Amino acid sequence: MRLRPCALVVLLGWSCLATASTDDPIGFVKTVAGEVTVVGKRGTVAATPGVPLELGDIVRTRADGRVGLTLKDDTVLSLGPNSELSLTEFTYAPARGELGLGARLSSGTLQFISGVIARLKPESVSIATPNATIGVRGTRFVVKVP
Amino acid sequence: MMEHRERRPTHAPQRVLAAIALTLLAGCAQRSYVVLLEEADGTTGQVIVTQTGTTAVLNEAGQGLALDGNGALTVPAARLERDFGAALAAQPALPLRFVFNFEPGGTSLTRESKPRIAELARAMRARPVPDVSIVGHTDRAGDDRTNEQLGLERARTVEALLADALKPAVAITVASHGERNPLVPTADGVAEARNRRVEVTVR
Repeated sequence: MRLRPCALVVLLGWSCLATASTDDPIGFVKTVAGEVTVVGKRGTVAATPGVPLELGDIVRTRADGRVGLTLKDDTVLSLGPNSELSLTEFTYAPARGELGLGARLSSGTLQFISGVIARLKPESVSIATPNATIGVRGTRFVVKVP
Repeated sequence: MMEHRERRPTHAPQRVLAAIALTLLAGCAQRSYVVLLEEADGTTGQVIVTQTGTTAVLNEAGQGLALDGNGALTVPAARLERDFGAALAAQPALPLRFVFNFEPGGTSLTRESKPRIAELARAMRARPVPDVSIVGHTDRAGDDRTNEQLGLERARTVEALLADALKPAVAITVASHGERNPLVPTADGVAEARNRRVEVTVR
């Protein structure tokens, strides 16, 4: 009985993955330690190096977890333990001048290293926390939310 | 009584200071805050922090700001390490970009570009799950549509040359920006060697 819901989740996960494969992922999980999950349209998956990221995904680390991500525009994000980061906006079409990057840190710790979007159109990059918005002007910073 | 009274003025301030220090530490541990850091190339950018009704700009490495409206913060290195050690340790290798240049009007690599194939292969090996983008560009000689196509052919040429090095890639995207994204801006119709290129980014 216990296996059934799991099998269903796996099957759903696969079918969603298959349909999602027509869209390019916006980035990838690159480093993982401890327990980390990615929650998105395909359900909840354990984060392992190489797992693709889609717009709307939420990356969560547990007390022993940490994770490093890169996005298609070379933005580099890394999270410490007990953290939750939502990928809320990603538009990357430099040839058409269409650029935008947004994420929300609900809890935990984040290091942000900016990529091409922040270089080409800095005003289009922002990181939200529960009570502040951080506009990025081509830079590296760390931010903590209790 | 006397003894007790005399002691008070000497000890009370210390206790108060200790209490304040503890409060600050405890408060700091739970606080939301942001700290601007230096980038790998030694430069520092800036962040603009908007909270209810206020906007603050950080533009010096090490500058911190509380995200609960309580203003500037100086965060000791030990505290940064305690709060952000794990996030910093999880940082993936920084993306690396390789530029391959081409002879005019076609898909022949310049001789100077060939050693970059080996450099790129090394970058691939240094990353456990590399993903790669290959973007072809042209100069502004010739018409837009031909250049769009030529950019794509150049990107595919580089993809083929790198076939062995690219084997470990979890994803490869190939695209052309034609003549729309020059490295060196020129008038239309100008042949400029630095714009005849394929940019490969290894992440």
